[in-house]
Amino acid sequence: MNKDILAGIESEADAELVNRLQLVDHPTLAAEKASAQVTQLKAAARAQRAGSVPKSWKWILAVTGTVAVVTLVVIGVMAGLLRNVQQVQAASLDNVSGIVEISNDIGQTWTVVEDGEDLASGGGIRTYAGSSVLLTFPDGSVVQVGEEAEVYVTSLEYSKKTLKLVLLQTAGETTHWVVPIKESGQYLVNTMTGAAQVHGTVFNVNVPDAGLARFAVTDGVVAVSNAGSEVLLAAGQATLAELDGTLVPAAYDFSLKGVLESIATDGTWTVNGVSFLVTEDTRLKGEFVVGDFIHVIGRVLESGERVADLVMFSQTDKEILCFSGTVESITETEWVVSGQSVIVDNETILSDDLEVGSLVEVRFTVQEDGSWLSLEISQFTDEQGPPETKPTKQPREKGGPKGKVTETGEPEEELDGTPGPEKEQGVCDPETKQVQPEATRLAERYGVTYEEIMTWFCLNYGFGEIDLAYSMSLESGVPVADIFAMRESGLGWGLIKQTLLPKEKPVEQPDPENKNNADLTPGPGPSPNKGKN
Amino acid sequence: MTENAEYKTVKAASRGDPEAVAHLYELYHTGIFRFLYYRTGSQMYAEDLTSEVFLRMVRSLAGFQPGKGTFAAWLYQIARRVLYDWYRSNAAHPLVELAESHPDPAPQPEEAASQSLDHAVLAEAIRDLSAEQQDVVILRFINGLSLEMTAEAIHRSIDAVKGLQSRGLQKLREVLTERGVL
Repeated sequence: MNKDILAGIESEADAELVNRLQLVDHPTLAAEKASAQVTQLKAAARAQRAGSVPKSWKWILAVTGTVAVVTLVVIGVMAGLLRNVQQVQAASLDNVSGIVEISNDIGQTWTVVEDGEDLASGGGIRTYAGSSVLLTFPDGSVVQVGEEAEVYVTSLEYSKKTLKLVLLQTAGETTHWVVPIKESGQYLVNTMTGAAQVHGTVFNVNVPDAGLARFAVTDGVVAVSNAGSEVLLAAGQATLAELDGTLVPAAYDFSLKGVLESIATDGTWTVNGVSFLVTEDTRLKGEFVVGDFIHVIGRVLESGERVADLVMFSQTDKEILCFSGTVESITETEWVVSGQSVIVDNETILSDDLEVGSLVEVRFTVQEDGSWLSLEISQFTDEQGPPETKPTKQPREKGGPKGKVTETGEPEEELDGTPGPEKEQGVCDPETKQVQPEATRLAERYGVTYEEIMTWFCLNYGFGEIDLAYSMSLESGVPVADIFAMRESGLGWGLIKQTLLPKEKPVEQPDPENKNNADLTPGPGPSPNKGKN
Repeated sequence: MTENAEYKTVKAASRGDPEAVAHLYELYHTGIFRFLYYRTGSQMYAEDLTSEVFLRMVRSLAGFQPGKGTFAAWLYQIARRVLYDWYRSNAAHPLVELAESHPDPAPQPEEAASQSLDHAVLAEAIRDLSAEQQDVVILRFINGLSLEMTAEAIHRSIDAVKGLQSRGLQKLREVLTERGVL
């Protein structure tokens, strides 16, 4: 037996036990799993490399920048001109809704942020349940980061009005409004399974798990690459980048929000009369039964088949059926859009200048006879642009339950064809039949009742705040009611986190039985609702 | 692998060299997987978490400072953080896998006599130890880390590790004896 193994062993009984432990046939990772993980890691390494700037180049930039600044100061160039060569290396955070954290040490430690703070090059940002944030880059490009997302700014340089940005998105959904980038600029979004390179466009990236990224374009053209292959996406199209290097052909997008009416054994599901296929590659974010109000995002294949990419609970009860495609024929009563026939009547809203070949988005309803009646056919563009930034956050109102709750004020109208985080809303009745999917998810996650989560929600806490409070309770052992009491007393979430979970410091006086260093005890751990009734 | 060779591999991996990253995975994935298996008691979770540990490694390599400690200890620090995050998000989920294969944690004496010390029995017994005792017992006596490296991995002094391993082994012996394995 290795001598080092016995270092510090003081009794023969201990040595004997150590010997027994050494003889156990310890488990190993299955070869095929290990092989798949290596493939994934190599892809991640390549993504990381694609986003890095060689140090020598950074050095040249730094020296060049310094010389330029000194020269300009010496010759007394006007201050306005100075601004043009100044390098800004941070994105500003706006419209922080719920709980958002940033990390400056590549995801090791996270700090709660407020509106107006900056995210520097090298930093990361993550959002909790029901939370979102807007990142505004120095050139005016905007990224909306949805709930439970994690994004790292691999590199960010802004010089001479040129943005060079590389992001790494490891989870969740982001929507990007990119200001046209000069040829010397760069706007690249890496994921573990694919990358999107753009020069001025509007697009969406959804990473439901480490094995898949979905890219969808609202305006302009996006080049998506994965393991050496590339797909060009036009507005209205989407593609999937998978772990094994697959990049599926570009296909038109569809989105359905409505009641799940049937689930057939062959994988065909129906929502509001519209059927689609759920395959083994479809990511199901929940367990669904007929009657659930769901949100489906998918693609219409060349064959006309609709395949779901993501199925989740809808957080609004507004029914929306829409798809995008190219107009193939037009008659007075019927249009064909990418092979799909839709009826047009006097009430259909039609954009001007639509003709055969136009790229359109169709909002429709399914009639009793199964035909699709178009409610609106519009040119596929991002007319609304990014959400406006709101510089200050409304202070929390103290007091009892409210009838309606939103995090940032009025409910936002749906962006046609532009998926994005939806505002928290819902009737504030813990026993209401209108179930809040977010509350269900948090209740399951923390092993408490749905009613308990809704009680906090009805006290005007967002789901992100509830998520954070329960996770801190679990980690610190402090009852969740006490944590909310700290918040009620006026403490910010950042300060509360700092108080309950101070960052680890080197241990000066070792205490072998002190578990505060890392309370990794399996099982239920400290009860999130300890001391609360 | 010599220290110098490992340093070169880590440097190459931090520059995004896929082969270097794959090499580090080959070197360390078994240890990381076993650590996570014994800490979660689940083959399935340990597989997923192993993947997560190495993905975080890729993201964090730029922050690794060789002068401040060994690469292995640094990697186990990531594994502990991944494990904590997993506990946080799965606190409500029972560990079904072990419960199914070993439904009765305290078998009757006549049943106990037939128990042998395999990895599933050991994983279940280890879970009766405190979190830090589990870390130390797994890192020291299953993965074979030195006292120094274990101390570094769990942010404790060598003396503290000695204390934890002594109490951990004592507790483990008691649990295994109770279950008729020793």
